[in-house]
Amino acid sequence: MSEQTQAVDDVRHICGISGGKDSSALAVYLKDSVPQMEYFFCDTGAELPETYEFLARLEVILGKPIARLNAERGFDHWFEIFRGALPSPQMRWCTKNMKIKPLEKWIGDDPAISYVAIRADEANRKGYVSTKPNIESQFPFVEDDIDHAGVMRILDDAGIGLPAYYEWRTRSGCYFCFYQRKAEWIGLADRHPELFERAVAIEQKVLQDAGVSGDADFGDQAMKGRQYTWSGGETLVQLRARRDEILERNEAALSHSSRSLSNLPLIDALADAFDEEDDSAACTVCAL
Amino acid sequence: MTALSEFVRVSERFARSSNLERDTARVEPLEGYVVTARALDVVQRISSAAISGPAGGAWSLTGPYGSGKSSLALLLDAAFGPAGQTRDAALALLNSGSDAGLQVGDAHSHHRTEQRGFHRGMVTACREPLTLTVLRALQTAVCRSYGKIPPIRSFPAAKVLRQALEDAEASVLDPRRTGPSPAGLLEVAQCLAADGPLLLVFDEFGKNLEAVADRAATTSSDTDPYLLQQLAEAGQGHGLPIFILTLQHQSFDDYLSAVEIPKRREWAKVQGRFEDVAYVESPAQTRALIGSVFTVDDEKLLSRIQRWARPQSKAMQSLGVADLADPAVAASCWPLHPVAAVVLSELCRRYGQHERTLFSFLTGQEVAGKNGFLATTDLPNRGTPPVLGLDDVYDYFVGSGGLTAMTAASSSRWIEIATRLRDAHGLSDRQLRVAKTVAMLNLVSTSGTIRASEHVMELIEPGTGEILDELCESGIVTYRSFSDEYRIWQGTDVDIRSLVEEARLQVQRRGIFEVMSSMSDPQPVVAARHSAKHDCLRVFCQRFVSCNDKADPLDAFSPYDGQVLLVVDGDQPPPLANIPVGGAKPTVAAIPRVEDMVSVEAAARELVSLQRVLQDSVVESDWVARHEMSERLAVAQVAFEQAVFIAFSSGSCRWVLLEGDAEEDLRAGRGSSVLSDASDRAYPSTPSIPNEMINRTHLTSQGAKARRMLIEAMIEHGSEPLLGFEGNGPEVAMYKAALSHTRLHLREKASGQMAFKAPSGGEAAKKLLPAWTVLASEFDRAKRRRVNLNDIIASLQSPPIGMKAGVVPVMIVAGLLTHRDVIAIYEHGTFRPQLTSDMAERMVKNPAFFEIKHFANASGARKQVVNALAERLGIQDKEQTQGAAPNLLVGNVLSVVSDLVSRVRRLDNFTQRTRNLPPSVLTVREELLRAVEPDDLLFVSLPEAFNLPPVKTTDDSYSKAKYLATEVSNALETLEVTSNQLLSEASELLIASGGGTSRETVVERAASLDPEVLDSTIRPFVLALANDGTDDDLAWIATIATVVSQKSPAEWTDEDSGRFRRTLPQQMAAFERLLALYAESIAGREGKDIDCAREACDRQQHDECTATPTALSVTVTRPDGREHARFVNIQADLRDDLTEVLDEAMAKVELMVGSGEKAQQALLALIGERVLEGFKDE
Repeated sequence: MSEQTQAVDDVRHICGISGGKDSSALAVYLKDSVPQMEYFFCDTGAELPETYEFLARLEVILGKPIARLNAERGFDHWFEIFRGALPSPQMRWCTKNMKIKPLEKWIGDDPAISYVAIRADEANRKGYVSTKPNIESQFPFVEDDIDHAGVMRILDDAGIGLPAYYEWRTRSGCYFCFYQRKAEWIGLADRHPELFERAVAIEQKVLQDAGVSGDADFGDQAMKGRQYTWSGGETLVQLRARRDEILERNEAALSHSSRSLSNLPLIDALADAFDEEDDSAACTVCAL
Repeated sequence: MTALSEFVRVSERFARSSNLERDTARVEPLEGYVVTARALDVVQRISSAAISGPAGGAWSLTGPYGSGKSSLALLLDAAFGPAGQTRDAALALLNSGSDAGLQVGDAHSHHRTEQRGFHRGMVTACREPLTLTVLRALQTAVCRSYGKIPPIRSFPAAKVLRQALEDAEASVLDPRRTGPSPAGLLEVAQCLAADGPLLLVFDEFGKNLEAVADRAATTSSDTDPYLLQQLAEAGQGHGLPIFILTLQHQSFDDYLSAVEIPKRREWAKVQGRFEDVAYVESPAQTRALIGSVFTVDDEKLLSRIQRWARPQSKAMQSLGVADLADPAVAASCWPLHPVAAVVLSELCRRYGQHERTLFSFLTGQEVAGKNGFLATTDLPNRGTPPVLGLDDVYDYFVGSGGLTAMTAASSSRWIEIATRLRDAHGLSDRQLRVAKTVAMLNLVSTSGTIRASEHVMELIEPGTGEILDELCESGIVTYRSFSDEYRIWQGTDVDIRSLVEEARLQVQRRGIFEVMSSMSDPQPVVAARHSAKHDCLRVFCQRFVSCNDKADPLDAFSPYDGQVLLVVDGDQPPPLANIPVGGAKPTVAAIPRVEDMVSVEAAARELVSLQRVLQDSVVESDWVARHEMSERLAVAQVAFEQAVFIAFSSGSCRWVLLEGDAEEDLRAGRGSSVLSDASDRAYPSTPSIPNEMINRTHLTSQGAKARRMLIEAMIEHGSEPLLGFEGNGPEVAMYKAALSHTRLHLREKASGQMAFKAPSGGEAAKKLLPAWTVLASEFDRAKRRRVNLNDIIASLQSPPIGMKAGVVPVMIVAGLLTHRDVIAIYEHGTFRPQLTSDMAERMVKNPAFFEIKHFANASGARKQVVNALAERLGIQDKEQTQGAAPNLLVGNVLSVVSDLVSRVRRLDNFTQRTRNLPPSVLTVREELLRAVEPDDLLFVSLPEAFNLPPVKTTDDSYSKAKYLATEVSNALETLEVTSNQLLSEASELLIASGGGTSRETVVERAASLDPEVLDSTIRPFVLALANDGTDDDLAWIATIATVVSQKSPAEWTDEDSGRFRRTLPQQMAAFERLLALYAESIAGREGKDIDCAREACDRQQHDECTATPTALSVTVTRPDGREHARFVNIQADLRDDLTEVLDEAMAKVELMVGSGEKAQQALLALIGERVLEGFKDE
């Protein structure tokens, strides 16, 4: 690989950072071998504080800035443009407008090599592999046989560790991500009550503290009268009221899975406890 | 036995159809003709007119297809023709049973035409101008009377006629020619009539009227109505004996329904000159005709038929069919069963071409033909003679598809019945016959007495009850109790009729406006002329209103440019409610004539009644009823729309422009000219934006995308030609129409770069100027207070500008860019230092969230402060270096505040949060971060931060201006270096903790440790210290700080900073201890000190050293998870002896535990335990 990348040419070398462990490890891993690497992060403006903090840490470690794509047109922007019509699995404007489009605009028509953080032990996972002809994808972890342990080692060595949200959540992404589990919503309510409140407001088509004049209410606008809920079948307020029940069931699921999978770090235990599919399957681009 | 045909004669009454040109003057077509009551009536009208005076008359005969109109024309031609065989035949027909023949004779004697007869022009019209048809009729009349066109001395109009024929030929060849002149034709007709009575018959006159409708679309003038009118008038009163007869299927008006109202009125006037004669036979008359078809001469059979007819006529009496109650009439219908006769006449009327169909059946193959009923049925010697029943009628009409012309409304039932019977298998002959009888009755049944009730079925064929039961059982036939009827078609138990009646009654009680308020409003209309003239579609919505209710004017955000109030209940326009802010869009009231409104009202009430029935739960749950109601509703809907169209057409109602309390009648012109007039008045200052994609109310998604690109380019590439666009995409077209064509975006002379400017020069710019002035005055208004963007949009969309919603955002952005040095933008109340493209996107979507405020260039003391700050902050320089492109401009409040706010917002989080700053700097930071009002910030808050008095507008000068500028600038500089300061301090702390050496020595010392042998708790720290990937001291320390605190210094809080200061020395101490241990181990192994180990060894030796380390890092984990790490080493000279001891011990233990591996583990565990004991105190 080093032969390919050391040659200085017009090809851009890009590495997407999702805010999760794998892509961060890849960035660190390639830091020296691909010095011309451009790191990018598609910013929704609604990431968890832990993610932003982690990115800042990573930037220091990488010794260069991570390009924040889409910084001007984050979730709040689109929420206003769509006048309160929220993204959902059926209408995933979030991914399209805040991830794919900004990325494709940023890359433009330049020939580029995109380094994708798929590990050797998850060769079946589908990452975001661009369909644009000018982008070639490479999978260094697969090529160099780096697995989960290897990734942890890279992060440990860099002294960067894991993003703090792994203590209560299995993936990066928006604080109100509609793919997060009910227990994770409870986690949000516990760790970031102000963000939880903001998500509650958004659910009611209100953007809190849009400016000095206060909230921006879209209740009378798009899809008037239709109650969207972030989490299936109940509003966040109802979900929070079931806090103990949700946590109890979460514990049960956890202990069930840890019987067969002992000594796993929490994040892996969580991931295995809840979904058989990889945690990136829900939102491949978000976990880019 | 003998076939019936031997006993029955069938009159060849009607040929299938007659043709005037072909059949005139021949006897044959008259053979077998039976003069119907209607025909007699017409003949009598003409002859009595001819007898009563010198003049003629005009009649228009309206009758359906196949009712015998053309045959009547032939009869007239013969009766009023010259003496001879043909006339005799005609008169004989007329004299049988009436005295009409005698009257015709009197007419001839009155006009002395006993020998030569009337001049007769009989033509069948084509789809052509009436002049051509009349010409042909006249030519025929002349030729038939004179043999050829006579010389001018015997026929003064001969030359005119020839000329007309030439003109006609020319006009056929070249449609631009006008054809024969109506005056000439009139002259010919008058000339003929002066010689003797003239009878003109126009068959298929509807074709002429259709031609009128065709032409209406292309030409404005039409001479046809005048010609016909003059011809008719010439024969009336004391005029000449001109008799005109037009034959058509529907009234004039029906043919002309697609023609504009004024033209229709002209024709209505013409029709007024004609006497209308409805040419339809009543069912009884039709049955009388049926009776005339069959003649039986055999006395014995006749008496058998009469015997048969008696009970039949009684039965018919019980059914209320009066004419057939006469046994003679019933007998005359034989071999048709009386019920078949009733059904047949109704069937032909409803589904066929009336008498033509009827007689095609009776006299054609099916009954009288070689293989027909009469020829194939034998007459038994005794008993009831055989009868043609309904099942035979069914076979002809339905089974063999004898009927094809069917109206949509009735065809569904027809098809349903036919399909049902066709698909019914396994029925016996008798069952099938009964089923067919039921089918025929169903087809004509209108819930009268003639329906498939048990009673009627029994009359037709005694003993059918049982068979009906069988049919019911097999599901072919259903008994409907509410109507006491057997049905083949599914039908419904819902009593639709009474539901409709009830609904009508209810609707009747309500006022017409109440009724119509539930209707959907008519389609919007375009003011065509105005729209074309201004490249701007003006659309008026229409709605029904009551003249008693106040009408709301349209607001600026309505998608329509005006409204038409269709007044439904009075002759006055409704009062107008208050005019909205920004001026009202035009409101026009349309007040129809009372008589037009009557038909609208009737149609509306019917429509609403049907709607109510359709919503009835009984109907909703019955699909047959629902289906029927839907069909009726569709018909009613069309009728209603038609009535509305007529009532509110341009020429037929009064148009009133409403302006506040004032009303003004508008002159009705063609089409939408009224609305164009209203638009001209309301929108005199419409700008010209010749691009349909943007100059509209709702943009397409492509249009919206192009506009987004345009606005983005305006903001980001305003200084470039074509805004940096390439190619010819829609955004370029929009640019050219909205910005280039209007000269809003021009090259600035001073800078030589493109820029946005007030429009000037050129026609389009002139037309845009009023809009620009409105925009400028709105910006001016913002000097006093913030102005919401929606207010500005409202004023641009309202009269007199009426700018389309699609263009407005582009204009506003152009305005904001032009005035960017004085206009501050607030989003959700928050001051935005500059207009960005993402903001513009939100602005387009939700303008109400944005406000603007105008900051005029400051003066006096404030100007002094602004200039001092601008100078100190280097804003002037920025202007010079960046040319005209930047988003910030010089020398005023906004540019200074924008610069300050932008700078402070770029600071990292630590700097934005830390409290460890001088109080004045903190205040400056806070004020800038929450800046709301630029002038408050600049002239009140910032001076306050430095204990200075506010800068008042009233003061001429401010002595502390320079001081203030310096302090603010210093504060900003302090803020901007704060994060670097933090890192520098961290660096100093690190160096100091490491014994006062330099960064280079720290890096070198850390690099000397082999990371592979380091414990994971210390390894990242050591790696960070050893990081030589950067030349930048601050980047180096930032990495270390991040590793130590697990947080980027840019994200630190003051607490993080403090924690770092406490942690770093501890980590450094650990690092030092590690270094010492490592140096010791190497020195012990090699007998050299650490410096020697690194510098005296050559590279290869060193690699060997590190490849086989003698020092080990051993980590022991306690059961509770605590870990202990130690470096352990062996003195090189003892290594061999110790290895020997170990091998011995291993051999012994191996004997005890079984394997070498187990032995190793056991020993290791034992040593581990000992080591742990040693760690107890840690």
